[in-house]
Amino acid sequence: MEFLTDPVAWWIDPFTSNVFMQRALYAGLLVVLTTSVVGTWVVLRGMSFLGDALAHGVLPGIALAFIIGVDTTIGAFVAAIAMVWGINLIRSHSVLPEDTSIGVLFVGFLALAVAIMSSSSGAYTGDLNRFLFGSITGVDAGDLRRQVVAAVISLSGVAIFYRAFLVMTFDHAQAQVLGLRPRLAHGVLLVLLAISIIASFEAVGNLLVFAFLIAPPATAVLLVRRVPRIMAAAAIVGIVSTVVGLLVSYHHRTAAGATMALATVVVFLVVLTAKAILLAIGSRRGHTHAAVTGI
Amino acid sequence: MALGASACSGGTDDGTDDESAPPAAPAVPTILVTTGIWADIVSNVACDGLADIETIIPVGGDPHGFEPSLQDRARMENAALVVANGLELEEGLEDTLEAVAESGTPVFEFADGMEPIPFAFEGAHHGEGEDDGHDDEEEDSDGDEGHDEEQDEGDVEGEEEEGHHGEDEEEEEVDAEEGEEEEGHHDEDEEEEEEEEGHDEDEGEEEEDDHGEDEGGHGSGGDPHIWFDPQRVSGALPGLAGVLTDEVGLDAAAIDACLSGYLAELEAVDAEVAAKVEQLPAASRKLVTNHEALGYFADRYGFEVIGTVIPTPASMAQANPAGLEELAEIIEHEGIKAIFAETLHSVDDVEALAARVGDVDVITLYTGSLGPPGSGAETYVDFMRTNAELIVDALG
Repeated sequence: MEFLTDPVAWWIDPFTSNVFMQRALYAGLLVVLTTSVVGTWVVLRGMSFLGDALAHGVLPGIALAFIIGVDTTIGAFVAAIAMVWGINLIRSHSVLPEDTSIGVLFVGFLALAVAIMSSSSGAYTGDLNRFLFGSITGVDAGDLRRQVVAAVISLSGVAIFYRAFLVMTFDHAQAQVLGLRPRLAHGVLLVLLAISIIASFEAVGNLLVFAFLIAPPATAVLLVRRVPRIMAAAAIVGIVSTVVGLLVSYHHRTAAGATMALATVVVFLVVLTAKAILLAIGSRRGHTHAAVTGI
Repeated sequence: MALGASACSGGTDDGTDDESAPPAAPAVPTILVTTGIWADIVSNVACDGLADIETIIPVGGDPHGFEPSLQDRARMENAALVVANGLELEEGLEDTLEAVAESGTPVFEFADGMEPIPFAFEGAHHGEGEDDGHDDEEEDSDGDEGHDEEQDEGDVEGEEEEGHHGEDEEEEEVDAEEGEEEEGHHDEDEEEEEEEEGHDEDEGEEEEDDHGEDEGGHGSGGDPHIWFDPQRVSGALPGLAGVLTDEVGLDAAAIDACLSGYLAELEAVDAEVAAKVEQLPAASRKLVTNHEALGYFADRYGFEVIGTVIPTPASMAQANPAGLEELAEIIEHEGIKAIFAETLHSVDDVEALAARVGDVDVITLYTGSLGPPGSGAETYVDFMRTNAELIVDALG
């Protein structure tokens, strides 16, 4: 209970006295900023599975880039594009539902990454973990710069395409009528998604970035209704989770990235539970709960 | 180096240029060895092409993380002998090694005949106090030339434990009781750690997770990086030679000749490293490493491992900010000049630590794998020499 009895020592001191915590905080905040605005659309449009698949789909690109000696960011981006293209190809050439084509490529890309790494006799063969879980304690200035660029692209991309995303999300037919080119908008969203994943993987890793993409926006959807507010709430939830996760990691010596990701999920579950309890209390008092269901 | 040479390709001997041995031996037995380091050592005991030595984990591969292919499995089953480190170094190979042993292929594990030292950090981390007093006993019983002073100066271990392996080392035979006792220690420490962490309610689940991983990683306890002590390696070689003659059927006289030659070589490099280390003032013999790989080196040559970037021996573990800051403070406080990364692992965390401290070098050591050609760590003996030079030069 130290976080109540001695709040300064628990909440503040770690960040003021520890440069690793400061770096991790900056990196974490940038991850949150990038993923929450993009993740909001992923959640609203029901693209979680695609998001998860993309987060892993970049792995073979990273692995190949390592072996060839190219910048891993480029490798990751190429792999992401290849995956999106492949999913569309399968979908347009078969009667299979989209989740099947995503699933096939998801596992295909993941397996390809492992196969590539196992065949390479060079360095890093054992470091799959590093890609999957990242290293928020090891972020350097270059990583932070890359994250800033990604955050700027994500924020401005979402701002520019806001109307297109909105109409496409809630009324696909109308988007076409309005000339908003839903396919282009969808493509832009996927690129933004890829950018936010790639920019975050050094810090939190390919496996855990998905937590930041989904959990804070999902929490926000439980709390507010309008899209701009969802984005804002998602960012706030993400920030709170990052700070709490880092502090728990600091005080209890747990892996930083995983603890932050866990915090986003715990916050989601807490909000979900609290909301269910409030709803139950509300309905017992005789309110109709028709007004508060759903999103 | 005849490592990873072609299997069963008949008469042609590669690497070793001996014309004396009759090339009409298409039935040279194949011996598979998990890591390149041990493969080099085995090829020196079965020297001059007595056997075809192949490596399972490629140069540059991490022995902790390596997963065998089906082909590896088949090669292992068809081999005359499979040689491994043991102590769960080869985590990804454990199941395969067991299956191979069950299928009737003899498996020799170097760790079998050794008393493992426990991981330093499960309990001893903060014990900066150097133990003295009983050093002399060990020195006397150790019976090698002159360079024992350093051996004991800065050991991290608790006294009791150190006493233990001092004894075992020269007796060369491990009795099960002592092994258990050590393991008991280990467990106690772990429990302590659990207790320490346990008094926090809110994130309990997470900690359990973490522990689960730890135990999954190195369940049986004991530091597996035994090759960092040439004396321990030498101690295990007669056992290997016995297996080579009894199980593989190699010529005992030839093996004996190889063995005595190589033992002399190991003794020489051991003495050389010890002499090199003597150039370092005792106060400088402090190691900060990426993962806890240098425990045996420290134990043998009188270094103290005062911290590791990756906090636990588990392969899934990550560095955490509190641990790194503490390590940074220890480095500053002790005035340490260099910290050590590894060729097999990402240097990100080590470099972040160095950047925080400022005035400290990052030196990359060969730990779990030999180096590529031209690295100066192509053989085990060169590996020890190169690492020792890197360490002593960096800290001196």
